[in-house]
Amino acid sequence: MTELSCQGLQKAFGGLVVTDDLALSVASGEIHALIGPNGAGKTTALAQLSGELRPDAGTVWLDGADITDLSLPQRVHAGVARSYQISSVFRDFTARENVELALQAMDRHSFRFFRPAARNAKRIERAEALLDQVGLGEEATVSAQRLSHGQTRQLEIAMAMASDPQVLLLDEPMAGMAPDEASRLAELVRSLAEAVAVLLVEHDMDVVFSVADRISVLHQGSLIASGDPDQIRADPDVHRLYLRDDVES
Amino acid sequence: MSDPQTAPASPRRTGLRFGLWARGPSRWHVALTVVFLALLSVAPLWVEASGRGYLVTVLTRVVIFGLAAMSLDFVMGYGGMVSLGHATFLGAGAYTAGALTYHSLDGSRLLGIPGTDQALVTWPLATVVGALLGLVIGGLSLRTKGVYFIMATLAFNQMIYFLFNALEIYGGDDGVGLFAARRAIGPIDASDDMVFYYVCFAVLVVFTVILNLVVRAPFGRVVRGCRSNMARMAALGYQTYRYRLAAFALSAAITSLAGAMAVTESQFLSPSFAEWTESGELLIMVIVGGLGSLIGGVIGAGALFLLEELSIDITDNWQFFVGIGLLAIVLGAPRGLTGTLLGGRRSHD
Repeated sequence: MTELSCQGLQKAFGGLVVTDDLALSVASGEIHALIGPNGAGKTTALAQLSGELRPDAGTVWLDGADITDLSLPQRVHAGVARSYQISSVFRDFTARENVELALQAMDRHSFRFFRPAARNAKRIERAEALLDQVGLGEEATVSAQRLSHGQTRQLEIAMAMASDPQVLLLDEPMAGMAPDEASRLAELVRSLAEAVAVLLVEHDMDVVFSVADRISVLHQGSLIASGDPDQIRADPDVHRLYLRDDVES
Repeated sequence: MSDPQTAPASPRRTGLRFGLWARGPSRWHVALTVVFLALLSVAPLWVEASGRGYLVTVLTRVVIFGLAAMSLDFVMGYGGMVSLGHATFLGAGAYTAGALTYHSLDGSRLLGIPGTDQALVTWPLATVVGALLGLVIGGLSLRTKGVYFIMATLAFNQMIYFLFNALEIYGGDDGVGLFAARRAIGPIDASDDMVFYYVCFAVLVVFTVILNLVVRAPFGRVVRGCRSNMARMAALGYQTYRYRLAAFALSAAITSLAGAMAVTESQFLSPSFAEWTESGELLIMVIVGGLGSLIGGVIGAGALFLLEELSIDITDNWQFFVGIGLLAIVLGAPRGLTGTLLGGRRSHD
């Protein structure tokens, strides 16, 4: 059982407080969704958990170990992987090479100068298995720039999974997806969460309320509510500040 | 998945132990590289047979500066690091080899070490000096991004240039002739231009093979990934700075070797090797030849020197015609000469 948690997280850009005394936790086997209006600080919070941004104050723990000082690449090796809101795959690589590159990052180092990367049969096999898992098996040798938007999002997930993470931080994985694509991806995330802790930042409330085990609502950098979907649905503060009629039905 | 075109998962064992003989789209790129090197291997014999033996030294310069341009293409075309300071390393190599040669001529010592004109000593030493300088300059410059990186490399270039200008012992800004030196490469006496050409050509072949292996190796993939999307590389767990720095130092080392070869060729040491316009000329060679193709650097060097040679014959205002020629290439072949020859096929795995 793995748990990523933070306490007292604080971040300001100049006078603008974007994260205010934030405490969160996500454990393996659960999907914890982080929601909130635009500018609530969701992506900034994620960036501090992943190691891209240093908090001004506060602590991040992975399984009780303080990882606040670990950089982004170091946290990946510790077991925390993330995906991006704006797809950022390697456009001049094929889908499979994208995943291979993600797998290669788990080698102790890549200062290997002579043996061609394209000859690593074991890695290629692993990459294809990951692509199959996210439903991209058929597109393995397609150049990443030729993939559809939805396929690119799937590739993002495969790359994040390549490090065999214990914690997966997903930043709006369903953004811009057609409803049927989104629900298939939601299923995938659900199945991943059986073994992995998933922190999900997502705007699509239908998805959030159907897949999340726990939901935390962020407003102006601080949490205003946290609980299971039913509690959040019933929370008057959340309604007033954020949900309004989004989930009336 | 079972479609043979989409499932090359199990790599075939081919005759070559290393994977230079690329499968898939990049075999065209390998073929182009082999063809161009083959042309270079017979070119001096051809110019000599056609009674223009003086062109052998021009070809030697194509090979030497092509090597430098190729190593610049490695950081620029594959690593996305646009360096406007590679003349720094050209100069560093030239001054390492040139200074050793200078001291061997008058029997004096350089920092307590006797000089030598033996290329088996001066060239490897220049390579090491280039690598170390590349680590220092790259180490600092790579902390900046984009245009600032270009400016940082240029700033170091200017510093080194003026340092060489201030070295009165080697003639200051006039430079110093080393015409009495031997061109000895091990037991080979390379004072003959033809012999020297083939020595340089052999070096070029070796580094063409090495760099082509490197860009296809795991290291090369990381470097290429950094060009494409550095933030994502970090998010995958790569310490991008280390890999980019290593690539920069490797490129600096090879460029420095080319500088040492150039001073052995011209037997004249001067700060002009390190002038920033020389950095620009290397950039032009890479862009004309085709970014991200390696052999493009050599082809670009060939095109540039050929244009120069042709227009010098016609007019004193040859630079004007070189300019027109370059414009024609850039407009007619926006992906460089290799890009046009390969029709946009990928130049790596």
